[in-house]
Amino acid sequence: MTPLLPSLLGGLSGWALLGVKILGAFGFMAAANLVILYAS
Amino acid sequence: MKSTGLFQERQRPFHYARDPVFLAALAIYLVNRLFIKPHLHPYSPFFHGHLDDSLLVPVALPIFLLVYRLLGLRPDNAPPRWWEIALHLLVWSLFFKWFGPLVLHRSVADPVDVACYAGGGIVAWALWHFPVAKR
Repeated sequence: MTPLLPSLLGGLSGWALLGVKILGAFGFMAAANLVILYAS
Repeated sequence: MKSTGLFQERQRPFHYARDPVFLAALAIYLVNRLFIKPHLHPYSPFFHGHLDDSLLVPVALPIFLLVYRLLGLRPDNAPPRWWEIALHLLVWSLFFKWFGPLVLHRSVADPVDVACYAGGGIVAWALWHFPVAKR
């Protein structure tokens, strides 16, 4: 499976890219948890 | 992508949203939500509460892991590891049974629900790592 976002964000430096990825993961987790909470 | 870490490609890869355990659990959730719960007028603790809670890990975790994989934070396609399940159980227990009721005034803080999350997680882990039939 090709990692899509890393290729899109290829211009960022290593640490900045990692930070963006981790922020993205936390953002997804927060949004998904809210959806689960309010949909249940 | 080349495999890294402890997972060997010769092991059975995890298929995320096409995983049979995920699809079966999602089907059970949808049947319960669309066909059983609306027609079950006396409150049933099992169908109105515990079943959905038990399906949290097998339904939600593959999607979460797929997003981490797409972000490049998950290095391989191994079946969900015990610590990945445990970490998400911790986050979900805190979010749904502490933050939700206390801050968002949504959901109730019931420890039985956390036990259901954990029970569903253990069963899902067993099915992911010791499948009953070859796929």
